[in-house]
Amino acid sequence: MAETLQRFIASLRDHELPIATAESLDALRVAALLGYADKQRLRLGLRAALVKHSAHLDAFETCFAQFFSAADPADGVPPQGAPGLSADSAPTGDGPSADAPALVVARAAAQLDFTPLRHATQRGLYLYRLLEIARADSRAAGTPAYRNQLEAAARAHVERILALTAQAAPRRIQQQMLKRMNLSMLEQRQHQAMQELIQQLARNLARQTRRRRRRAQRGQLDMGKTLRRNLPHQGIPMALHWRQVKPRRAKLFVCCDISGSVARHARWLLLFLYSLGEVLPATRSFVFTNTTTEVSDLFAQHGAADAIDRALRRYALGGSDYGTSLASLYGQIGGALRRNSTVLILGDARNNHAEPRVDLLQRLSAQAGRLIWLNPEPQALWDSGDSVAGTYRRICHRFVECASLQQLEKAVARLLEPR
Amino acid sequence: MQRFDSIDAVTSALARDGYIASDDIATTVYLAVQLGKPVLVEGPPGVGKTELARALSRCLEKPLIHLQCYEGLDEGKALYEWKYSKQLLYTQILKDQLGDILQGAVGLADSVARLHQFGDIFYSEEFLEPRPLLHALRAENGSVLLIDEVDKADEEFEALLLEILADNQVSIPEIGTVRAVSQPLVLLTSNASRELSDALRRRCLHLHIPYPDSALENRIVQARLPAIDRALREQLVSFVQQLRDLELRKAPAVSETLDWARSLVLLHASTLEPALVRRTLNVLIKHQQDLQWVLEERPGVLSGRG
Repeated sequence: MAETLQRFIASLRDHELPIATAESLDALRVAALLGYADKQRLRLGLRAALVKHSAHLDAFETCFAQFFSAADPADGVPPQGAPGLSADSAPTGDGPSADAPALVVARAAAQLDFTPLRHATQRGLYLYRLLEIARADSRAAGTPAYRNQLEAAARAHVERILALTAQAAPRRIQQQMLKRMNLSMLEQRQHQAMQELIQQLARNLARQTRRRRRRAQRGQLDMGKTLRRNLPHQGIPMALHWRQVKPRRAKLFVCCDISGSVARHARWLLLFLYSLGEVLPATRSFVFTNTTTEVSDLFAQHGAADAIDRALRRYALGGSDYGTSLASLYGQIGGALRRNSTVLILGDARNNHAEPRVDLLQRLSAQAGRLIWLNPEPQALWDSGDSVAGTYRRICHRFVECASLQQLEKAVARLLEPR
Repeated sequence: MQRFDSIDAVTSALARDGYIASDDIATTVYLAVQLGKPVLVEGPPGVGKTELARALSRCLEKPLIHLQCYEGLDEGKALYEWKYSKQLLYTQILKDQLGDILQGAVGLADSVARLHQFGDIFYSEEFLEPRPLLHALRAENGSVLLIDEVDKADEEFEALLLEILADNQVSIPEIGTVRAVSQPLVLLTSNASRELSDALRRRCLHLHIPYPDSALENRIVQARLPAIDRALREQLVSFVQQLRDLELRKAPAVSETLDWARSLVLLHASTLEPALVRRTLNVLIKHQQDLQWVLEERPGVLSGRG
């Protein structure tokens, strides 16, 4: 029965429950304490030991229902849901030695490792392997009718295992694919999944950053405070006080090109930044094609996704002109830039052969602490045609390619690093 | 003293104390006692998370050690502290003694060697001020340790808890490792105002207490207020259940249900009249905006029609 529990845990892990070995051991002890007879109590006990987060409750309940509703085949109990295959309907006339097909399949299944079975395409292979072992069973009969029943039983068994494991796997594969995919290739139907993924990444990043900031707070002794606080001890420093580093109130200015091809990247970048709201205070957002417009208020009024749609509808007109856009951007934020400000520009630096106004970018770069440029174009295409990526690149503190969510995540993680 | 040797024993012991535990709660408590693991209790405020610890302490006849967490809680307040003023006082008093001890010593090395004979007397048990966590570890006959609202404490504090939760021991640099004399039953509660770290979650059994369904809530009210009329009890429970379905800023919890039931009993009410509900609703709903909203927008609820 311990093996069943192991498979159950494996199935939970497939549903993205983080279950470590220590918890598996706990689950074993719980099962030993409670026994398998009372399914309801077993469920509650396992839930207490394995589910550490309310968000995972649903996945656990589904898994448990799937897993323990059918009797365990490894114990030789015929599985439910396969009519006519139970032990008492064993075919007559096959000689007294023949067992019910389901029983033979169950015995065969115990010898086969089903862990790699993840995808529907593997169905045939595992059915074949299972049947091979089942047919070799000495207690299986050889009549055609019996063989048919055996095959049906084996098929049902493989299907059930597939149902347990295969649901979770595609989701994970899809998420991995979404992360690597070029942002401009995303289709409408993937938007929902993408949004969830972005929020999840942002949450993780926010958590890591918060911890990093805390750690950076220690190290420097606050002499004044220490002396004052220790006056009652005759100035002997009994309790030390460390200088607190105020959280970096970095101002972030995000400026997105929303012309044509870049607009789709802008959408995800902005969504990502807004999901980071907790660790990115005071962000001002701008969009531009040939002139720059501030959209911070729009974002404050509407949800990020909604606001982005509105911004795109309202301002995405014409081809991009970086020169004029930089001029109007500098006009709006030039006075507000400090050493702790970061300017983040997202664009392909395709200037339609207009004046690039390198001097303005230089001024931005000089006044802000950091100037980061995210270019959604692959690096191979930089400087081809009307692109001025190379020129801008020399001025920015960092100039990186950012075409997929993976690259975006990396770039923003760098952004959050303390300097 | 009660022994928790089966799930039903847990349920009945708690029930005798007036705490009506769902199967979920009883199973988790039973496992926690048997496996010696801490329990992380989550759920909305007022569903009886803290009360569970109190009831367990009464059932097990072990002292309840309550550690309320807040931002800035550190080991000096949670675990142990040196009695600095006592140390200072003693050094002042013992100054004169030093002369006697050092009498006849030749040279610096000899004097220091003599002082070394006395070891770290100022960092010994006598100068140690135990705080709740250390109290719990040192309790002779075990204890119920309630670490309340652990989500309010900083993340550093969570890290401090890990050693205690996993191994029932704590390391004090000057003294060494203090092991639990008798294993305490540890309950942590959280209102999810912050995500707890996975490391902490991993060390605990997890128990989520939701708002009770009406059958359970009926039993709770009956256990706590046997005097209440049955019809009134059923009425008020179904009323509270309805309120929870509305989108209030703070849905009424079990504690509010009980408060309300008590008020109604005090007022000698025998049935829920709209006028009575209107007058006493502030016991149940704690936000002025919620109150106004229910009174103005949902008068249907008041007359019991939903």
